[in-house]
Amino acid sequence: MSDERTQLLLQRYFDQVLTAEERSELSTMLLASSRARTDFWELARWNALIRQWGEAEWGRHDAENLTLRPLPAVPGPQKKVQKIIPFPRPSWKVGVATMAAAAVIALFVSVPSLLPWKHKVQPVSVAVLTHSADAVWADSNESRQRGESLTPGWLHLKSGAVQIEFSRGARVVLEGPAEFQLLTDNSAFLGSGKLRAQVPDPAHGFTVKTSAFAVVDYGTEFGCSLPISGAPQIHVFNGLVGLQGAQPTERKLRQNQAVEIVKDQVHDIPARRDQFLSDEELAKRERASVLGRLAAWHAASQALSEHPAALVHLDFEGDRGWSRNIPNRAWRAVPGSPASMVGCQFNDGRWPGKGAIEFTRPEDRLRLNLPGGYESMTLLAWLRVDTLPDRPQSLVMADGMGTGDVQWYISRWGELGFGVHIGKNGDPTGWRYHHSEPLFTPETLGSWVCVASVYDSASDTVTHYFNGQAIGADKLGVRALLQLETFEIGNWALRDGEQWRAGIVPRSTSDSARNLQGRIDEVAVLSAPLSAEEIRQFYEIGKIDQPAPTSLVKNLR
Amino acid sequence: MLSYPHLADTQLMPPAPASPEQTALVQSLFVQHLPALRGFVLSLVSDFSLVDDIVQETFLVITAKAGTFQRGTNFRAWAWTIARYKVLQTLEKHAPVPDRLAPEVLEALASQGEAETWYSEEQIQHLAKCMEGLAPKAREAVELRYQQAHRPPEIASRLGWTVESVHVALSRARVFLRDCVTQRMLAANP
Repeated sequence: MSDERTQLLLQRYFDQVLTAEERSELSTMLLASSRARTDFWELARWNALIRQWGEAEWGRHDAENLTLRPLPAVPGPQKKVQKIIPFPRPSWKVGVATMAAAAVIALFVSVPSLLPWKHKVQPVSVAVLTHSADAVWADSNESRQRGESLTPGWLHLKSGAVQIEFSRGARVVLEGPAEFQLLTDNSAFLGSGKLRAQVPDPAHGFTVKTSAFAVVDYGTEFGCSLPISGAPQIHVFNGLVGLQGAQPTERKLRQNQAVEIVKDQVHDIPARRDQFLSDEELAKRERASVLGRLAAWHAASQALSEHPAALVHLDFEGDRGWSRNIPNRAWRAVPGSPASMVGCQFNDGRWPGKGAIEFTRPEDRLRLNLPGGYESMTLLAWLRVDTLPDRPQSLVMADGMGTGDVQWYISRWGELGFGVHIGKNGDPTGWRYHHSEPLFTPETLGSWVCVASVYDSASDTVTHYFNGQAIGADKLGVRALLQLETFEIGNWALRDGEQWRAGIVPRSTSDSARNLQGRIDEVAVLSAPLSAEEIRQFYEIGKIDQPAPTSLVKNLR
Repeated sequence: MLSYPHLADTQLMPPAPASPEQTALVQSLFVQHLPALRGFVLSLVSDFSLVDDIVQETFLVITAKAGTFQRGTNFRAWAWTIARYKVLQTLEKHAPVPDRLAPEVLEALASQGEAETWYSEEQIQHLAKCMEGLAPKAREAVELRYQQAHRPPEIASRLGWTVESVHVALSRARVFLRDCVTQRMLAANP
């Protein structure tokens, strides 16, 4: 054993809690004494051994999570395979080609715990769902929303219509009922249903396969219909299309040509544009469906503003002109105290035409003032997260570090976090937090989701909700009134050199950004703990695609 | 700041063409030594989140330079030199923080040479058993640190402790685990 001081400093080094003074003291020891260096490697070995065990365990948890994690009913991506990504990093840089060395890949695969980049595997999206008009999906757990990234796999559209933009540029309008499988960024399989494809130059070779034939596009616009009973048809509206598999050789179809395939025989028929939904027609239908949706939401939204406990309710509707103030519509709003926009800009929300605030730059934020202390609190928001930077992102954050201050945010790992300061004023270790399971993953990026956190003083419990469902609760040990005082939405008033005070650990001295990268189109703060049923109703009336039942609107009133 | 003229020069030189067998040999040696290499890199950077990137970049350089590796010579010495260079290069890119050591200190440590054997599968199995002997709260801290790679301040906020008490708990747990594994190894191999 060397002297205790060396041991102590080495222990602090391996826990990454050295101060600058301690570091220079340790450095002097390590430079001067070979004994100290031996001690360093001795402790390093144990540190690395435990980490090796930890990584193996974590890998095992990860593998179990892949199969055992319950699948919450949320619109879109949540039910897909989720991976916890503790350290999302930039993708592979140079020399990726060398990785093709199959031998070494096989080695890594056979010894997964050795795989140094095992957390990097992410499904690759091949298309985006760009428009949706009254789309009803076969399984409500599989419903997709506008703007959602699509990975290879099946889409079961019961009714309605959607537009899908493939990454290579092909654009498809799919009419329900349809069974459609995305294969790659430039090909798909049509099980049944009707589609119209527009294929710009860069997407040449866009292919729609079916069980009987394949349609290869050479830069054009065509329609393909595959009824459940009846003869498949291919109509070419522009350009050139190759029909493969239906005849011994490829058949070329030109503008205004169409064929029908009956019992393996290809017959010419007249080309009919009007049989296939166009982009314009889809857009028209979408507008009509959105207007109805928006009207239903408006009525319900007013009910939330009038809730007896509503302190803050911003819906970003109304004037989008020069004013940089957002009115607070809550019944108990502080008069003449709107939210001030700093940096951020208006953009579209859940529906085209619905207002939202977009946060992109580090300085973007909304600043508000809410005096007073509250025994309980409910925080609600509809938001869309656009990136997952390797750092926390703020939702609603009190400026200070005083007793009772509240922080609501998305953690570095995509968890929903709610924290209350329960220590003495200014004590940096006074925060108590509860984090949910990871909710925001690369797959949820760009999707609108509803999050809520409810602190109930009667049980001293915070409960997190995601898309109307409770997803975890914990006691916090709060003995003070909760407060926001001056606070920010989408950012956090953090001064340089004060990163440590959040209890959210900085990675480096330059790690001070906490801004949200995404949009918020509704946010509310209430001084009462809303029930699980009330949260579910808030979600139901705000859901993107399904029309809101009027009974829910009435109930909320 | 230390520089590595010999390494920098060889980096600029076009890599010697390696036969597929040579590349496969070098890569399989890399995999054999990967746990130890990860331990080596982790010790020098102390930050769990940097290890993967450095190891990955080391792998790329080793693959690109496979042709310069001579069969029968010390692979480990060769690979470690490259990893060391990658560590310094990576730390140079990041702003200095108190918990990172300066390049000259890292040099002194690396040249001293760490233990030839880092750990064995047997030790990891004993370690898993020894974990069961930790107090529940200490075990929670160890898991947050070593499984989930959280830093002590974050562990503190999650457990409702102070950073200092997290550090003390981790230090004690390491000593306990070291003694426990050592005893079990002795009992198993008298």
